[in-house]
Amino acid sequence: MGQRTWLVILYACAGCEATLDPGRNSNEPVSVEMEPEVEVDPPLPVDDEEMTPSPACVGAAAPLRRLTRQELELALSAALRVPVEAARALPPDETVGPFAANSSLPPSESWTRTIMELAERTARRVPRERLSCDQPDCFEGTLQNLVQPLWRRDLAPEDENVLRELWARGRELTGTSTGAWTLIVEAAIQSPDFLYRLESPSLTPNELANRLAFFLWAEGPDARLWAASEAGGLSTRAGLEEEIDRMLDDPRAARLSERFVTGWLDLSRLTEVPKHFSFLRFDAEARAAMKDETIRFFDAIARRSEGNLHTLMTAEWTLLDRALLPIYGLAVPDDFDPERPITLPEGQRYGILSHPSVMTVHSTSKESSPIARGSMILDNLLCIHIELPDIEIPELPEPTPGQSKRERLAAHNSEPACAACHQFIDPIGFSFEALDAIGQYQSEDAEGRPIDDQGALSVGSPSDGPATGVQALSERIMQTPDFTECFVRQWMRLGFGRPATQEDACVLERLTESFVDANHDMRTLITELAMSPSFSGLPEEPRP
Amino acid sequence: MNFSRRRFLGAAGTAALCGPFLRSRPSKAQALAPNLVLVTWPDGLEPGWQPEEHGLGSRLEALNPHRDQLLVIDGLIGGIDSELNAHSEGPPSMWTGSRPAEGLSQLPSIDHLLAERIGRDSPFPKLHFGVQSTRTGVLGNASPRYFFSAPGAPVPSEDDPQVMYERIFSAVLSTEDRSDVLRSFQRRETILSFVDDRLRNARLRVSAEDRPKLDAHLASIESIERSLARLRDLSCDSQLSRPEIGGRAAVDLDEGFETVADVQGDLLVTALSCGLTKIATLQLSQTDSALQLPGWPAALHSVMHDHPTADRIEVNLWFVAFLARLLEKLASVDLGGASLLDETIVVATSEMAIGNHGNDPIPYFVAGGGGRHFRLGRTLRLEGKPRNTRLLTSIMHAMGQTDVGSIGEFEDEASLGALEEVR
Repeated sequence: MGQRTWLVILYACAGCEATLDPGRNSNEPVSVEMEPEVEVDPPLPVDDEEMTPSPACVGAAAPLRRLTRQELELALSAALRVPVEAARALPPDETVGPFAANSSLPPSESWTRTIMELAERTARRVPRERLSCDQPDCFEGTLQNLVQPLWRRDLAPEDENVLRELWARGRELTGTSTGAWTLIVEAAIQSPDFLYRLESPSLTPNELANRLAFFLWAEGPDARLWAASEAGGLSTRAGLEEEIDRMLDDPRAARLSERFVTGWLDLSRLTEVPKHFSFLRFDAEARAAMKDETIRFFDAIARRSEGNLHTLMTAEWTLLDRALLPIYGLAVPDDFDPERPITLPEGQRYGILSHPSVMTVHSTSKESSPIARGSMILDNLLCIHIELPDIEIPELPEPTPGQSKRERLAAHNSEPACAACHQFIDPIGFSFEALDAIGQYQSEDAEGRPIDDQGALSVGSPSDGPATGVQALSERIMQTPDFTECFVRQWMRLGFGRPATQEDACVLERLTESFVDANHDMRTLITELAMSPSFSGLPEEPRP
Repeated sequence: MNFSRRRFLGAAGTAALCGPFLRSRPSKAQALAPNLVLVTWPDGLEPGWQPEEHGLGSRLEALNPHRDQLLVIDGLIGGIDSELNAHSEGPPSMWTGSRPAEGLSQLPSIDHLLAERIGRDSPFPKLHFGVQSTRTGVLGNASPRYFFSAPGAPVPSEDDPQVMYERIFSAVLSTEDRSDVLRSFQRRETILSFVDDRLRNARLRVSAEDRPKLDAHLASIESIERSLARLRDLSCDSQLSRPEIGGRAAVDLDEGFETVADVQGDLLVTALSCGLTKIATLQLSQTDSALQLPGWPAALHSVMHDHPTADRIEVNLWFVAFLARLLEKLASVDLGGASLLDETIVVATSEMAIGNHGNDPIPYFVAGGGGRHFRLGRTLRLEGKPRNTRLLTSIMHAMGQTDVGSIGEFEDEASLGALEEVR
């Protein structure tokens, strides 16, 4: 019986409904619902027999994906070389886990209307000299120039025919060649050829180039990637690896770090999370600087391999903007350089979990929230999702003067209905208590008592145990076997843009293995993911 | 299109304003639904705003010309508990009846429900006008969200009157040569028909699981095509011209606020009067407002938080006066025997009671005879702290949606059902 299976029993016995992410044992989320009073172990819907990896590990089929707001904005501005502001006007993206994917729901009418307006605005920005062709001999060139980058594939003869007809109609309606070309651009933007990532059942090299570019850069392929795909460079593992390496070194790949860490730690909410006005240091600049710190720190480790997953969790350095120094309680050094790592104040912070961005998002508007922080660790880092119970959750008693947060949350222990879940959540959260609602370190609480940050990890893992402060907790999380696998699982969600199914069990297993073999190097993980048969369509490397 | 107008088509004077040559006729229920305008201003009103025994009193004096068309409601509480921060919880709850999570409503707002039910045959199912609704506030919090199309899906208001003008009128106002207008429709129709073909083509190449996505996309393209077909024969002989004020930077300046507010009001009234929409919202600033008009001692949020009463009243007077001007514009549109205000319901309110974040009582002004639902010309003083969700339900009923039992997710007695006292 696998270790994760024990975990389910543990939660179930406690009367807490925990869901392990699918992808290893079953097609459906493993969900065990039990009344708190039930004491016997429930029969398990999971079965070791099914864990044998299927012989050909190709993963589930890739769904049709519609460009996300970010992809749409970047792909459009790269293809036409004009500024585009799309994100704000479009309805929100549909997500897979915490990552924008647009892979299962159809578009809404409001999305379609917004795209129409966006196409009209954007086409008007294309410089007129690029729309001036009115001779047959420049027609094909102009079409290549305008439409091919938008559609991100070679134009077939039948494409050219329908576009030629459209041009003629546009010329008739607008009376000018420029008008006809503007109309072509508008139509090309609104076509499914731009708005979706259309793929054939046997992935072509051009389509793989698109997958790589959208995964690593959140936009379409550049000329070099295109040339590589045309020349067959993506059809061998060596050629593919070389191209991935080149793309990861490109500054555009910083978007990959940003998308991952923003989704993984819920940082997109940082720009809107409300804070009480008494937090004078928490202004728009501080919000931006907080996010920037975490993204730059993550990117240094993920793409430049300045450490590995352990470093992410346990680093005693960070990369700070000037605006964040007051929140860290640091004076501005004379030779301040935002690019140079800063050593964290000793004993206060440790790794990415102690970043102000993470602590700020997982707090209430006024104070730190052990509940939000504990849930985040379970859900995002350990892939243990605790369902809200199907009962009305009673309010916590009003705070009484002089009461500590731990005393106020004591009801979570005394009430069996609460304790069922909160016995797992709250102890994790208490380890973060020295970091307040905007992630400032404090040694005393509002009442002047010393901070009580005695917490514990208790998830049914060998790494369980007491954890006072964020350092002890981060180390225990790092030692939890589920943590590494959950981290890989999150990357798969981002990379594949769909929830994992049973067919992905072998993919998860192999990626986790190679990640561990590579000493938890994230750049290796990203590369392996992009080279996996489910992503690249290339056959697997022969396994020893 | 606005088919409340159908009743007045025979009346002299209507055609002079708008000449809708309708291709398709809407159902009777849609034809009879009135217009709805939702107006919000930030940070409530200083206590003591309530009308006096006789007359509206000095604080609401500007509304005097429309007092017969006005229902003042005193005693409704906001949907949220007062100890929560009303800056983040007030806006997403006020038109939805939701308990918001992270500043986002868990329900759509009533403008969206109505757009779904009765807006589909208008060229624009609804329009969201803003005045500095996205300007950064004093706390630096992201713009609070007031209107929602689905759980967690806010709908932004547009702050730039030039953008609104182009979106709504550039194709229908007869300031341009009509042949140009027709050509611009033909352009869109040509493009949409091309996109339609491309979608049908792509549909054949994707898997059976993916086909519904493209089918839905096709359906929305066809819906837009139908809406354009209705729009192309509409012309609107208004005096409106392209607003002179516009551009992101300009519309966020203190100096531009009043002008933009009035221009947005003009655009809104014209859109209703030309039958381009039935449902419009107008969001003035936002709850964490950095707005400081000439004569104000500080930014609005700071004034309402901790300035003396006299300063707060000063700030309040501006909003009351603005509301009066908006009502005046609606009243001055003659539909032949009735005014546009007679066929419209205006509901104006704020996300909190006053700047101290309280939710009791939230001031509400209902104006206009649309739907003949509200008994006007009076002040309604409510006992027992009914929740504002009951007024939201009443608005649904007034808009002809009488099958709606309750709006919002609150299930206590004070929250359920319509507010019969308004009738």
